[in-house]
Amino acid sequence: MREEDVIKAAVKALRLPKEIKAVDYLFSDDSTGQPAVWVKLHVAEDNNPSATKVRQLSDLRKAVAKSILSAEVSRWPYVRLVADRA
Amino acid sequence: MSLHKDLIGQARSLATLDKGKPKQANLRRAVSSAYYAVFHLLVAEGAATIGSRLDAAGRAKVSRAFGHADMKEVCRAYAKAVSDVGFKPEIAPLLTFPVEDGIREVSQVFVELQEARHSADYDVASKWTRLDVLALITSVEDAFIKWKSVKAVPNAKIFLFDLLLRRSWGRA
Repeated sequence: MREEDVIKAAVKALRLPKEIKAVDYLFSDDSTGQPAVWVKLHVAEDNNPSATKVRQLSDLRKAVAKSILSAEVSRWPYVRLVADRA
Repeated sequence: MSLHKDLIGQARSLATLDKGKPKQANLRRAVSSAYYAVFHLLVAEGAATIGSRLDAAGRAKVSRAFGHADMKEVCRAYAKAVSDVGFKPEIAPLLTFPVEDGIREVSQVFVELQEARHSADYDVASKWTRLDVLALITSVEDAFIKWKSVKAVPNAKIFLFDLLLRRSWGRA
């Protein structure tokens, strides 16, 4: 399986909450020239998120990154929460 | 209060400063402060360990010797350190695998935040959201708590030495 597919499978294996509207990927090098993947988790724009929501999505970011790291791919995962305007 | 705690507090203040839609400048500075919070935590811990017999001025000199790029390279290895894969044969025998979760987590956060800081400071096209920035800050705060529980273990000492000496201490 190609590395890109391994990464997508690692993310797909997680149960994403309903707050995540879509996921997209950018495969490129990071600022130090190392292979990386940016996983963009699309959420609704929220300028006043509750502490519970921040905690939930922070934990999700970590879970996504850990899932990719444990897949033993060369690319480093950078997980971002990207806002989609309502 | 220590510098790293002040910096993560500053990050949270900046991220929540604006009513309604936050200014990008405040979110970007929040990301930068969050990165420097992790950086200064590791530098302070490293200088205290390596320079344990030095006075404050001596430890300050040791602190200046840490470099961002080398620290990132080291943290990339420790974040994935469930086995000795990726470690030089001169260093691997000094460690016990898997490396403790707290060391892996602070390493992962360091790499993540360094890249985020780079984007926040230099990529004017990137857009930051309050939710994203607060989630990053929360992960830094979590890593601080985890680090506290593992900082005394032998692997943590080796990790701190590795952060400073990566380029040279593998020499035969």
